[in-house]
Amino acid sequence: MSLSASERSFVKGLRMFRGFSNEEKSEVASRFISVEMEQGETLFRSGDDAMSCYVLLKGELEIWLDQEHIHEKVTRVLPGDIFGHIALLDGGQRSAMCKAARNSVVLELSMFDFADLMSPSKPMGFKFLHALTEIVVNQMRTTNDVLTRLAVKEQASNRPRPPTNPDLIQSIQEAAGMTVASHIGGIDLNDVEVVVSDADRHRQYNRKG
Amino acid sequence: MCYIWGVLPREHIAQVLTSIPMFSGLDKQELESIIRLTRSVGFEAGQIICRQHEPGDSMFIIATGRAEVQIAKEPGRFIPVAKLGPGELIGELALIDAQPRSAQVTALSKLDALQIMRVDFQKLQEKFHPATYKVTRRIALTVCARLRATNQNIVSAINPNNEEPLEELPAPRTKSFWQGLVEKVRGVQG
Repeated sequence: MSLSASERSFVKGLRMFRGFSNEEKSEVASRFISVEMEQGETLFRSGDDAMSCYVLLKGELEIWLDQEHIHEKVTRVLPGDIFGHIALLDGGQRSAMCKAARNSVVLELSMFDFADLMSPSKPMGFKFLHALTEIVVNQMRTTNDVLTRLAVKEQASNRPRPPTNPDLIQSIQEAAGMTVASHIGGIDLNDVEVVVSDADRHRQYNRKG
Repeated sequence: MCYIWGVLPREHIAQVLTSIPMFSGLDKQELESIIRLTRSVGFEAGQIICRQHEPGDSMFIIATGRAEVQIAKEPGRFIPVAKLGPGELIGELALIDAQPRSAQVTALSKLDALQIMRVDFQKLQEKFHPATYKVTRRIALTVCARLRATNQNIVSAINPNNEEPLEELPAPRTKSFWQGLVEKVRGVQG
């Protein structure tokens, strides 16, 4: 369903479009459609081909890791959040599942409109790409801030070192590359460990059981 | 303060830039536009190239020499986390935004680099120059790949198939970095 006046106004007011002209904002808003979701309804699953990206208008969504043997809630999506854009940027598949924590309204932008809005043949394409890049860069900074705090804290400890997995370490090092290329990713995770509290260990034990 | 080199031969600068994935997709004219944005800078061993928490205003491409990336463990005390050499980048995300540097980078030897200021990159971007589109897109793809890899590492950490056998659980009181991260996330979410 195409957007109502208030929904269009919501899209035009999103922070990511702050550098857009009024005409460009209207153009972007005209490409979205509105989708109602009932509590518990699934929007996409891990491994799905990405056909759209979304902005949450109302309600609340949950992101779950739903790969083999794993079913873990990892984060929530709140009104104003954009999500599902990474798979459209890199052409990959969904890496997680998204479902409605309660009745919600999402605004959907198809991959075709996404590609058209991001086309370098128009000035707006430059702005659209820059806005999305700012978002993913910010996501990475946030993630890596957490990783760095954990790593530095744990590296400072002198506890016995855990066994290491070279492949995992290498991929972590690549993954955790942050603001300055792969610098933080260069943390030697041989020197990083997290001590399990008794409560954690009990929970871990139960989960494995 | 760093010192400014004499002007390097364009071929040399072009050679350095085209060896880096971020610039490898540029055609000759686009590359020329990026070369015009660069200035050659040099550092002596021990000089700080960029400081942690300071707003990033530029990126560096190391041409010669080595540098060390350091993170503050506590005020004034840094721990080394990586070493960098020729062809590697420092602070490339500063082309996208002005967020604070996440680490300090110090020259380990005499080091020569190419510097690109964000303000200059933005001026070119405001002219909708295709080189800036390609570079931005490359940065976006690199960041997406890192986010996906991070996600996959978290999955690996919580996948029961990757965990140690049940009988070994009570003995070690440690778990992997990623398992620890997962526990923290769960803790935050209650």
